[in-house]
Amino acid sequence: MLLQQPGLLLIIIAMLLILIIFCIYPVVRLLITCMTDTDGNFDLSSIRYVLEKTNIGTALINSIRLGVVVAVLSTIIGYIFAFSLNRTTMHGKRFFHIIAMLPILSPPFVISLAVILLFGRSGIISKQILGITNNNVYGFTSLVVVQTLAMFPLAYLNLKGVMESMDSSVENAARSLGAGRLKTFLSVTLPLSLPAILSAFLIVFAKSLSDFGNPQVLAGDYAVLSVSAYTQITGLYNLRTGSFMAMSILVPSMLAFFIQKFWVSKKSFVTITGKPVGAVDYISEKHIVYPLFILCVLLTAVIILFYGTVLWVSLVKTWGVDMSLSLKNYQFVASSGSGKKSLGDTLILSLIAMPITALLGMGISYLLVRKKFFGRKLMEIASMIPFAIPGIALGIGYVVSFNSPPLLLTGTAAIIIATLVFRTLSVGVEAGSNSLRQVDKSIEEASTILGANNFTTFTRISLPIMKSALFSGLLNAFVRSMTSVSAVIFLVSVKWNLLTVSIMSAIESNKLGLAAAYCVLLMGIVLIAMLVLELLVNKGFGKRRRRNA
Amino acid sequence: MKKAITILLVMIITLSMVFAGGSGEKGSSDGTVEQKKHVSIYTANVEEEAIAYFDQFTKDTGIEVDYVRLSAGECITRMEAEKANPQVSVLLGGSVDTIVSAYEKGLIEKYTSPNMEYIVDEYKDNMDGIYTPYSLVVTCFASNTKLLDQLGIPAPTSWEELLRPELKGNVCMAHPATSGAAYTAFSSILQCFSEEEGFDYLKKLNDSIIQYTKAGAAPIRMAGLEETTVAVCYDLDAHTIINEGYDLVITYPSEGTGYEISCVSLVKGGPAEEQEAAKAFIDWMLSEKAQEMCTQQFYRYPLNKNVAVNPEMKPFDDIKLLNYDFIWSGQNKVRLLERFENEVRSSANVLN
Repeated sequence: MLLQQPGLLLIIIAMLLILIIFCIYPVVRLLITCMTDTDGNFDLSSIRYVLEKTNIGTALINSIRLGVVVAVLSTIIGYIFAFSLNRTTMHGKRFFHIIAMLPILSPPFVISLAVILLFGRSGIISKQILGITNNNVYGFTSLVVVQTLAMFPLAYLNLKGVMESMDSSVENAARSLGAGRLKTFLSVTLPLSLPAILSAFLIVFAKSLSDFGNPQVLAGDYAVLSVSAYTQITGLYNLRTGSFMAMSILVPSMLAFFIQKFWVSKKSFVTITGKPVGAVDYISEKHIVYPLFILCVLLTAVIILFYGTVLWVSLVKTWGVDMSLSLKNYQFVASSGSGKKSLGDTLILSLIAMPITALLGMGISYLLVRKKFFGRKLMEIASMIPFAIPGIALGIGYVVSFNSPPLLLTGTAAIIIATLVFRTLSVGVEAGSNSLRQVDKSIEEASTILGANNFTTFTRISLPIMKSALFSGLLNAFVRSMTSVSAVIFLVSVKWNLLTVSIMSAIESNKLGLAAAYCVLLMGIVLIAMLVLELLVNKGFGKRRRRNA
Repeated sequence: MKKAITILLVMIITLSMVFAGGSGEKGSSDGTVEQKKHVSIYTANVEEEAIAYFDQFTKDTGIEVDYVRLSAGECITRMEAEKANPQVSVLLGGSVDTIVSAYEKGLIEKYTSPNMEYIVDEYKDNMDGIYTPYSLVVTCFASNTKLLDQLGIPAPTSWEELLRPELKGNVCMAHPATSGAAYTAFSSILQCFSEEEGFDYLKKLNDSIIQYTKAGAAPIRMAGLEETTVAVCYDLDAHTIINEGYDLVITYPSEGTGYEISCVSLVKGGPAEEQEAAKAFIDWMLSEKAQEMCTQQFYRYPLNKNVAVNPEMKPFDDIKLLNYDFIWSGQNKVRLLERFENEVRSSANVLN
């Protein structure tokens, strides 16, 4: 079948090639590095060292435990948000939506920092309001809170896309047949969103496993794998053992990935069939809307509290000493050449990475869901790897792989863009796949029968259906690019620097105010970009504007 | 038709990546290489400090500097990963043991600056050119004055005093495996007592530690923010944060304390056209002007004979320095850290 469609074949081959080069090759190359000594001979001593002498076992179990808890909580919260904002007549949906986006707009460690300032030993809330003097914020509980807050928006975005594209006529039918709200929810809405729930869970799980920024600041004695790996690499200068530890995170993530795929593939969730769609029957019953509303308010309050703290820190002279307001941190950014340069570089690189990631993501998800071809599994796994692996390992893998001809990329913008693209690719792929699964293939078939080719069908039929997923894909690509830290720390170069590296550097040199100011600027830019994007995507595809209550 | 469009799509994606790469390179060759001399540097110093040196260096010599600022461990890891095709020619920062271990990995090129003749005699040895020492930073205690008053005790002036019961859960240092500053403190303790007595001491000290932070600069921030009373850190970081307005007092342990010789080094196999400029930068770091900046603006103990120590700092001769053995410290790092993990950390609950 493929041989009759040379264009499609070509595109599949091209995609596979790109994925193999940028997703698989660096990891394989890194694995080889782990298994050879300095002279290039085969040598397993680093791996033996890791297994015998380090805390890898405990760290792995700790990471998984944390990942599961965070993923469950994030998915639940994400689902509550997605459901409330798409299925009820709640007030302030738009506000909730924007606030829920804040955590993914910010570099990961920002919330951690806010937690210490608010709940640390001399934290504003713990000490000055509650009078607790010896509050210990370091450890598992804090990590769960912080990671959940930072990652539930990923789940929310993923679920929101599906909620929006889910045909509500099935729900309406259930209602007409006399089912109550609860029954409709349990027997229609929830099962239909199951694949998205699982993929949201998976994404958050993988993200939590590979997260480094938050545990680095907050883990205390709770050893997690990404931090242990980092310690090996930068503390003991042992690139091999560290990389191996980092890569071992792939085991649980890939396992989760296969379980999810196995589960989802056995079920069908088509709801968009091309038949007339009934309007969403928004839930307006007070006893349902109010509790949801309160939950949303509570959560957004916590988020605002944390980010408000960051804003506050950026606006005071010296936190803890001279709390008078001042713009000196912003003035410093404005006057510092390097600050402005990294801000500009970050914008340029993210803007380039954004459309590439989104298009690749949508394209791949289309191929994965709609086409059967040799190498499909490979494509699916490959797109997942850079997301699941800790950034530091990915970054080192990229340096090792692309540091010599024919793929000499170190020092260029291309290597940073490539990392940004492939690190975030899988979120777009998941979102795209989720929306596509909701759509009956017959719509696309109709288009093909009417004479459209694959490309037209993709751009005219599939892509508009994936609009919401496309939006979240674009947004995610942009945001993640603007805020990624650990992967790029080995890739920024004398020519191209990124803002997050400056933020890290400011934190390391104890310039909290400056770091906070950078964060605020970064989030401001991303927020503006988000609003513009939303406008563009909605305009671009015309119909189905979000209805606000 | 459809073939053409699909090919086009692929082309756009690949091209845009190539183009992005191409434009990145173009920026560099736009005259900078031909007309102006230029050097690329990785630095582990605080960004503000590094920029100050670079700007002054450019003013003095006309050589432009491009840099990336990373922690010392990240610098070394990057250099190791980039070994086949090094991207920079100078590493500013890193202590002697760091540089020696990097040299053993084949990442450092030997170079002895002619300006080494101005260096004070005790620190002239540079192991045949492996590293170029440009300043000293010393391990100290930085204590929060307000919290000391609350506890009713004076600032600790010896390792022994750090064990005072009042300071239980009130001392913070970074984890020696993740922070160079903490490793210096850790190794100093082992060298000040003996390895066995040192570990006994560390086990006792463990009760007083609130947290072993990951970053070396974090303990001093915690002291500033009243998260801990005493931070064990480098005096350089302490001075910087005092300068920001935090009310801290610096003391040095009377039994003897460790220090870091900060180095500037030539990277092996760096860009060929930068070699001359790279050496010029290393020479410049030892010049009187640079050494003045080191101490007056950034609180380092200068190593140039003709430069006086910043009066805000404790006179160098009043601090009792150990005969710190960098080579022993570097060579035994993995073994000592394993002992630390197994004997000290596992023996007690660190987080009160």
